[in-house]
Amino acid sequence: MTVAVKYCGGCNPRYDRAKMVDELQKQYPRITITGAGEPEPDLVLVVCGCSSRCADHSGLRGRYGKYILSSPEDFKATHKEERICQQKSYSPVPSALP
Amino acid sequence: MMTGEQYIESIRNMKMDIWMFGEKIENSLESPILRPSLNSVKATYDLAELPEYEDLMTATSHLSGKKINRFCHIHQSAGDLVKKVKMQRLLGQKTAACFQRCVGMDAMNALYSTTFECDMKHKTQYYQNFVSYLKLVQENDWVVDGAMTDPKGDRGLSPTQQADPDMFLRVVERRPDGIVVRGAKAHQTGITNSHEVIVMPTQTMRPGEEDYAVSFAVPVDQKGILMIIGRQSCDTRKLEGSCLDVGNSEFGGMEALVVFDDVFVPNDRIFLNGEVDFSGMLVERFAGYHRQSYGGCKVGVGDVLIGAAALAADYNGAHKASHIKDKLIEMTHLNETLYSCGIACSAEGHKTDSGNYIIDLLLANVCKQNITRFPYEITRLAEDIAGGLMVTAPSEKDLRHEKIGPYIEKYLKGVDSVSTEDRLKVLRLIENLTLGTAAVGYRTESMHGAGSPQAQRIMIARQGNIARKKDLAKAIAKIKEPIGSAK
Repeated sequence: MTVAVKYCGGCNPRYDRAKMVDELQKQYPRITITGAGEPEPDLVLVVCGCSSRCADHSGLRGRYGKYILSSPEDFKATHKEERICQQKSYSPVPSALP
Repeated sequence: MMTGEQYIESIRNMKMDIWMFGEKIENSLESPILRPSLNSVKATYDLAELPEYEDLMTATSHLSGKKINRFCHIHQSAGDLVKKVKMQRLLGQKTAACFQRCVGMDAMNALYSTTFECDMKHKTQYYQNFVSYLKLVQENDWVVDGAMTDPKGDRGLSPTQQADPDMFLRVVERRPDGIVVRGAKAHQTGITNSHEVIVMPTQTMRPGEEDYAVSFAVPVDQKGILMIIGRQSCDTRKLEGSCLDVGNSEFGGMEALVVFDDVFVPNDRIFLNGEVDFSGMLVERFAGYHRQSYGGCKVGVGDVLIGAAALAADYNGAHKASHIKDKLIEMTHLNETLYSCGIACSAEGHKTDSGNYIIDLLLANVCKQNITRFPYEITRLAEDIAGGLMVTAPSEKDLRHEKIGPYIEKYLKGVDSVSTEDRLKVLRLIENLTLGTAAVGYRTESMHGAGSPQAQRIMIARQGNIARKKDLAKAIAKIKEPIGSAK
């Protein structure tokens, strides 16, 4: 499963954006995290450092949607995303997704 | 786009005429005094390569459709203006120094609209010249210095009244293939780290001053260009080889007096040549963009200084004191006020006739006026929190000395959990920012860069719309004098 990550510019982030993405990758090692230029990702994560959510993501689309995240709490929402949950390495359910 | 390493190599290949301490500098890259300033510019390339920052550090060229460094970009929306300020804050945070590349971006955006409007009125070819040049800047990812400030000689006299006519840079010869210019530009930030220099008039020129109403671009190693490096407080500490004593060993800024000793400029590099009625527009627009810039870069450096002051409080064991907390709040309040001004003048930006976007001039001048004051108060509070040791601490050599080092370790210790060395490191950083080499950028440049305080007050007076404010007061107070009669 490909997850394209688009960061905001990071002028004054209220949390460590890259660290949160790293933790997501560690938790779900079967995810392939790519840059925002990936042509047809399964999911898009727009990772913003604050509530202004200024990252330009107008041209980005994921096959299964797009999450706009601006706090560590927002990342928790991705853990509820069914398709991401299936990417846990110990998941007994084989992923039916690409 | 170039990588940081490619940028360094591109500067290495230039043959600049640089002088410092009475000697010609053959290799500025290896100079301990100049290298930190080069590293600051390199950061503008390095960060553009990282996905975490590319949304601010890069943009899409409206000329080629290609991804370019934002420092080479012509603002296409108010959103671009906002991103510019955010990028500058980011770079201030990452370097705690002047990263030098803003001035060229501001010159290019000012020239883009001014040359367009000049051509419309005078049927000149400057816009076409400038757009061709801009394509080269974007394709090559060049660093461009923007040179405005003339030495000016006797401030009470106009350019043509000066005892020495070269006190304002001027055209001394017009040839079929170009012009020859003579004069100097003072305080040129980042000139030794630039590929090109864009020259602009220093003030509005009047009829009779046509030779002084000139704008052009040349490579910085063009024959006849000579740079004399300006001193910075504590600059020779960088020659001592101590990381600790300099406070910021990686990054810095630089300034120089740049002499144009009969420099030839080909016709296709000329953007203004005698049209005095557009000199004021160019100066005003460049100054407006540059006054906006300070609402980003100084805020980023302020973020580092506030962090350093908070660390010093922690290391001193004073972080729980209510007055320390309040001082950190005040520093943050001042810093974010500056940022608010930078964002506001950008968000209120508008489209010019040429299609690019320009800031709200009133708000940009208010922004810079605050910059002439607030960093001074922020540094005062940082020094208050840091304590006197920031200016009385012994050197790193003393700290490392077999006999006296243990005394320093013992008596200059703060809280037990933090080493004396770490305490000294943060104090040296505060010293660097408040009265060392970085104070050139954070303090005095905040005062005089992009125009001294009075220059902003003149613009604020022009744009303040006092007449309408009088009418508003009349309406509320039910004064019968007709609305619109107030002057």
